[in-house]
Amino acid sequence: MNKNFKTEKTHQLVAKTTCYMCACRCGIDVHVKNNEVIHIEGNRDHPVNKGVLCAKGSSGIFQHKAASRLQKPLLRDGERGEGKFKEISWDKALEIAVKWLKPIRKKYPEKLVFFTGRDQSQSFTGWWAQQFGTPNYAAHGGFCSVNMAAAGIYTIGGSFWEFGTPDWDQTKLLVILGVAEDHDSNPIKIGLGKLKNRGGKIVAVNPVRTGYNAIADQWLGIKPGTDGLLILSLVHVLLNRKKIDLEYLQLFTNAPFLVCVSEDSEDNGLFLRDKDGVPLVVDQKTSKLKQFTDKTVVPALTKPYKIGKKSYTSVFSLMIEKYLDERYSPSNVADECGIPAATINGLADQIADVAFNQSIAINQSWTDFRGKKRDRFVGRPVSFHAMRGISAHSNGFQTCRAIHVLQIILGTVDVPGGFRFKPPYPKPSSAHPKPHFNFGKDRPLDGPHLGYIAGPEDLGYREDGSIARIDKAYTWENPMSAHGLMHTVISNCYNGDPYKIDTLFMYMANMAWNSSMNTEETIKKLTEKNSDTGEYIIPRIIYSDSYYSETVAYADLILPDTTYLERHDCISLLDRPIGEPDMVCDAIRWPVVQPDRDVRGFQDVLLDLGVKLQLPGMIKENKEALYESYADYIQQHERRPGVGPLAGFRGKNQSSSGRGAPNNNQIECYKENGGFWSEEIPLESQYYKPWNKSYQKWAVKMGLYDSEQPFVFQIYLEPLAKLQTTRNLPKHLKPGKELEKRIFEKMDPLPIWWSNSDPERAKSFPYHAITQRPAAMYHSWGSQNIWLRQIHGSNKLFVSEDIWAKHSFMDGDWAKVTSETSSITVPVALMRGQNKDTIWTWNAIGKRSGTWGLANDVDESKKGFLLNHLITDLLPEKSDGYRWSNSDPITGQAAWYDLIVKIEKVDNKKKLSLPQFPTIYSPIATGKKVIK
Amino acid sequence: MHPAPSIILFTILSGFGFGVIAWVGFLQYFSLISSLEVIAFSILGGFLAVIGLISSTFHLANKINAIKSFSQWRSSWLSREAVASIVSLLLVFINLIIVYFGKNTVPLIGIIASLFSIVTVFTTSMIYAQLRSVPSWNTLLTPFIFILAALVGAAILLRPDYALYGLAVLLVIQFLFWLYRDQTEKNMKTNISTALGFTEESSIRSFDKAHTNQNYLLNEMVYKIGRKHSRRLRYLSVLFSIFIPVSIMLLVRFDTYVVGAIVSVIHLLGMYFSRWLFFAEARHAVSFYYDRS
Amino acid sequence: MTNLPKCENKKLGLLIDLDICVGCHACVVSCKEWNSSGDTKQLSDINAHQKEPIGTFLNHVHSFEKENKENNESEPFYFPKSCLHCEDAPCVTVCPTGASYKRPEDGIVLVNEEDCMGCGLCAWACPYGARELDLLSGVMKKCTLCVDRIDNHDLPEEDRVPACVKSCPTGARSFGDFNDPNSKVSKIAKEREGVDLMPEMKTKPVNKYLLPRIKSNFDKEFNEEENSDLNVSGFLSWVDKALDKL
Ligand SMILES: Nc1nc2c(c(=O)[nH]1)N[C@H]1C(S)=C(S)[C@@H](COP(=O)(O)OP(=O)(O)OC[C@H]3O[C@@H](n4cnc5c(=O)[nH]c(N)nc54)[C@H](O)[C@@H]3O)O[C@H]1N2
Ligand SMILES: Nc1nc2c(c(=O)[nH]1)N[C@H]1C(S)=C(S)[C@@H](COP(=O)(O)OP(=O)(O)OC[C@H]3O[C@@H](n4cnc5c(=O)[nH]c(N)nc54)[C@H](O)[C@@H]3O)O[C@H]1N2
Ligand code: SF4
Ligand code: SF4
Ligand code: SF4
Ligand code: SF4
Ligand code: SF4
Ligand SMILES: [Mo]
Repeated sequence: MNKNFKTEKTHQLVAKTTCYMCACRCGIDVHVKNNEVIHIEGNRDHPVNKGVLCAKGSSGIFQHKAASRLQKPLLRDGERGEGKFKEISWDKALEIAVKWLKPIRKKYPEKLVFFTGRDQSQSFTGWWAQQFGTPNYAAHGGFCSVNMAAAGIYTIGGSFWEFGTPDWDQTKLLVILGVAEDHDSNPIKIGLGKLKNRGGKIVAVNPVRTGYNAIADQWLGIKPGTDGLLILSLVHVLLNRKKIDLEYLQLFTNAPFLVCVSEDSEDNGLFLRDKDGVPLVVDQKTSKLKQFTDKTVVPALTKPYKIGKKSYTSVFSLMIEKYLDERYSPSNVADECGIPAATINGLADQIADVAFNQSIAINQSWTDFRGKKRDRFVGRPVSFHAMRGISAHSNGFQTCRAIHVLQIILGTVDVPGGFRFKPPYPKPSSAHPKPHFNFGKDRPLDGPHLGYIAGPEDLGYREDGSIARIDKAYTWENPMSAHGLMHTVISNCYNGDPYKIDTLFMYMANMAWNSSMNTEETIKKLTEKNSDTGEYIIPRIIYSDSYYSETVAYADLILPDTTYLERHDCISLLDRPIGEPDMVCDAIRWPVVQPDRDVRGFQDVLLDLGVKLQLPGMIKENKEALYESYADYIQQHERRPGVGPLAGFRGKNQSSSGRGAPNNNQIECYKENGGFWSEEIPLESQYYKPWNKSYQKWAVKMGLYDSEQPFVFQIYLEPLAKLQTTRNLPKHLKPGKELEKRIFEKMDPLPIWWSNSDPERAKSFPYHAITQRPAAMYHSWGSQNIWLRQIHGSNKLFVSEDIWAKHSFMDGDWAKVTSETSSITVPVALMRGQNKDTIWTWNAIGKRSGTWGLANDVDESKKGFLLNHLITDLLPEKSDGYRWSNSDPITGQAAWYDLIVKIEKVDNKKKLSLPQFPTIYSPIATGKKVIK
Repeated sequence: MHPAPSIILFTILSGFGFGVIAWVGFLQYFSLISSLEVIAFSILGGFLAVIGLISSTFHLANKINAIKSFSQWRSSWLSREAVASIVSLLLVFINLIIVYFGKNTVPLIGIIASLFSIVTVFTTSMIYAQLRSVPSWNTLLTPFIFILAALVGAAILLRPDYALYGLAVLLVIQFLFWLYRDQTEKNMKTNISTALGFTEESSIRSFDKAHTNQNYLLNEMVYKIGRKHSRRLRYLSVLFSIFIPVSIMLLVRFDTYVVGAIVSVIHLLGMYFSRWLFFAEARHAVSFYYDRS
Repeated sequence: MTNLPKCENKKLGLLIDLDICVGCHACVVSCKEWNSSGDTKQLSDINAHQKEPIGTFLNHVHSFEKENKENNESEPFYFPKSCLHCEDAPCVTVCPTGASYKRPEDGIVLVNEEDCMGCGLCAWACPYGARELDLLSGVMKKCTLCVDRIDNHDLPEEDRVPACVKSCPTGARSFGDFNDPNSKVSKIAKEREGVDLMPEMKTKPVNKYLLPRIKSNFDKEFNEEENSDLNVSGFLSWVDKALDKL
């Protein structure tokens, strides 16, 4: 064979852009010829993936060329759910949309419900919704990982997942809890490989030992939903052994803050503050009160304080009192967690040893927020990482908080070898916006929809006490629902509760299938008509998707989107960031090929709609379009003066970073730079960021904040204490009896754990049923990819050896799995490496017949299945006669993994998974049979 | 291994054909048959061999290049087979011409054709016997049984008297082969541990598939046959290939080729089962990567 | 000629680390992509959108679990498998057309598709299942060690590695010359005792595998003495004293 190869693939100009098949957002080199994508590989220079690419990214060609792509705007031409449409022009489509939306804005903007699913442009879509004036906007975070995000932001001003990362280069021990794949998937894999090759150790806490968990040095096969207890037990042992970082607690956390502990006092549970609202601490040396920010203060951790009759005690003392309790001793939690006491004990020991006997330091002077100069960054090289195995439970918020408190007492957050923030994080809850609800006719909403409440005064009630948002976010049922509650939207719209709506407008969410709780019920709600009027109960549905997914058939008007290689996008610091602990980065997507169909980028369409609806911010004084296109918006829009969607190449000479005047040539600069922009953080600013003066200054310069925002970590979460103090509220804002009890039990300002399954229910439904992300599939979209569907063409239910034996299962058997509300019939398989009471399957492999450009009888629909049919948004009625929502009481996060079931072997001669739904008619042709 | 009908037919028919050719040359040399018989059976043998060879090309996915398969006779048994079979057929053809023109004076060509046809069957058998990847084939018994089957099968037609002994030996060899197969299956040096590089034998199982559907490897190399099924087919095979022919031979007088032909067909049917099992029961090493246990 | 050359110069191959492979299939798909895109003939897919799809792949990742005899725990691990570029490659010697060959200069085992007749014998001869017949083009496909990358001088030097090696996120796959004792792969293979698959097949694979490391066990029985067994006030007074000292 010829030695010097010249192939087309390496001869082309490569277009450097960003992958889309998950929120990792790796850099890709797309080789293009004659408007055809011929090869996609990882971009070596990209800060996120450094050249590597996952299975989804590598098969991007068939994401882009998928047979299931929609071709033209569609108008429903049959009943909802039939799949019958007629093709219309874009002009016509926009005209219809405007006809529907214009009167809504004029009369009752809240009747537009705009939810954007797996949106990677939330700062834009949110802004659009704000200009429209509806309070009803959110993306999908409420059913995804709001527990993780909110607990993190409230506690340490950042979270695992995209907000920060283990210090892969220096950590020596990583504890990874409840993670299968995660958003940061390539960096995690790169990091795990590096860590193991350096001789570092990994401990995995997960009911299932696959993927990352399989390569861990030690595996704790925990019983689902009990991580909080395990973590607090580790806290217990570490306290008991005096293995805590006192100095870190004293200087950088609210451990020394004084909490009022006089029950009858108005400020019971709240911090002692001075008249400027600055929390006070006792000085260790003088025993006097001082502002915690005082330059000279040496905060005491243990000293109580009394003012008149009121007693104050430190957060630290409260914490000790709580966690030294024998309730949390390893032997007392072992059974509940399914983990031997010796393992918990040994793990605590290991953690303590690495944190305190193997600490590291970087000799670099820095100044803390009190103005004290320090000569080095001390590091405790233990890091933690957690994701949906923790957050997708109804005790997830508190469990996430517990993990952060564990990191805090070890002093491992944002230190060398620990967990490190990625800019624009850290950003405390106080530096985030508060949620806004004030809507009115023909005007924008008074501010951004989503944010972080500081107390009941920020909740989402209107002046008359009525609930402001359709998803009931920020109500007493889930006061800290920082990402909204997409999973309640369809139900609430259907029920007209809290009010009736007019148009449901969705983008990129497969709500009639894999992202719904109880698919069958959801479909019913989307299709049911009012028996009197014959009209649909949810009057109008507009939807934007690129593909013929299960949800398309349930909309009245379809706005077909492009694929990720055909449009502009920005991965913005105003949004879900990419970045590295020592680098600030953002990136773009741009049309590396032109669409061969009559489709348009959704963001362009939104802007167009905005102009047609004459939304402020989108039009000039002469009422014409302010932005030519989304690309133009990306370059020209300023959120705050000098701060826009992209932080790189700003200013007239395109050399400003972070802040600077808009630059007409910005996107070109990004393209030339490889599709992204990054700038290193000076070493002096790289660690201890929340308290590091030079970082704070740098962050202001970069436009991450407008003023320095130093803060201390919130072991004790005062906003929760405030929620528990409802007595001062006007009557119409009070939570009501049954909720009050729950608030007192669950909204403890110090992390607690409770069991999600009550023993009565557990008797009849003894097993925990969970899902995992397969690395080679992205939710529902992977199945349209002809390569990926050969790897995961159908799924099985993996059961433990115990369950396998108990039910005498054999290879090829089928089982009926029953939850408290419904049943599914599915194929089973044995996996030994899993918790004995757990069953699991790969997520979102099951497909509805007729969709995704696949033939009607593919295994994905005939054998594959979803667990979603078993999960409901409301739990069965409890003894209190109340149907509690299947979600976290604090954030409203959907509790996917609280599912409990029973299982029985069934004879399934037809080898068909159940339930089977009728085949949907497809307006697009089934994909080709042969690809060669 | 997947028991592909085209390959089974190929090995059986071409084996039988070359067996016939081998006998013809031998009988011709000792003048035990007439010229007419030489001509008729050479044509029959050649025809079956050619049918077998054609049938084997059904298995080729890219027939255009079949011609190139003669090139590697120095290293490849398949190539040697191709060369040997063509040489045998050529010799048969020459012999035929000579005999046709009444010059049955150089029976040497016939005996050389006869030897070459045995060599051809041997090369065919070596295609399988050489494969370490299929331990149960990787034995001298494989060429032995292939050659024996070819000769015995043809003998039923041409020399039923010898065939009786031949069938007895075939029975023994067939049982030896099965015994060998079962033993290698049990004591395979290759197992899931060696397949994955583990030095000591460990309990390992596959829990999830590398791909959820079939692929070329699974279709071709991973074929599972139930124990019971296998036993039944072994009985049937011996019944048809040996016991019925032997019984008929003992009971009926073989004075026309018609009886021989019928018995041969019965025998070949039995051999079909045997050959089917030869493939179906052979375990290819790659199956360890796919096993669930 | 299908006889095997002695490759005294170079022995190129892959080193695969089962200890860090997370079974993500990135190498499977990037392999398929590189070997199907652009001017390379597509590795075909039949029933691409239909029931029972069947396509040609040159690399597969299998999932296994192994019992740890000491604690009865099951230890899952992943096993990527592509051609091992054997020194004694039976797939080459069986080939009747000469389409299969081993490059003398670096030992890479290749198929010259122009000569292949699709008999499948080489796939039978390979004990590892590293060859797949492409049912549509009718020729045998196998891992080429990405010769069209590693020999491709259009690519920057650092990209002259196989597609699967470049894409593997954990770094579980490395590429190099096993004949050179100083190459990274040789050194690691030596240090961590890289193993051969099915040594009994006497194929002498060039690719080496690193087996999963022995798992650690941090378990520790509760030890009375280590626990200060403090009550709250005792604890607080310890802290108080400690702070005074800070
Ligand atoms: N390849 C791929 N990557 C993806 C996605 C995808 O679909 N495919 N989706 C993206 C999205 S939207 C998200 S939200 C992220 C989610 O990323 P992950 O959080 O990694 O997602 P899950 O697959 O839900 O994994 C949850 C893990 O938690 C475990 N688990 C379940 N219950 C418990 C428990 O009680 N305790 C503990 N300790 N573990 C538990 C499960 O076994 C599983 O391993 O992934 C993103 N990345
Ligand atoms: N049982 C169970 N259910 C779950 C989970 C679980 O772990 N277990 N996880 C939950 C979580 S965390 C999440 S995030 C959800 C995910 O569930 P969904 O949010 O429904 O996500 P996808 O399946 O990715 O589908 C999103 C839609 O976006 C469309 N789409 C893809 N690309 C584009 C594009 O470029 N433009 C447009 N306009 N549309 C596009 C797809 O065709 C699809 O219809 O599932 C949730 N559901
Ligand atoms: S992890 Fe994979 S799918 Fe996600 S952005 Fe990166 S390459 Fe794309
Ligand atoms: S890409 Fe790497 S980590 Fe992923 S399966 Fe392949 S070898 Fe393993
Ligand atoms: S692994 Fe198989 S295909 Fe590759 S050289 Fe070895 S025997 Fe041949
Ligand atoms: S399939 Fe092709 S390469 Fe393989 S042995 Fe046959 S001719 Fe040779
Ligand atoms: S070296 Fe190339 S051909 Fe071989 S498995 Fe890797 S990507 Fe595939
Ligand atoms: Mo998610």
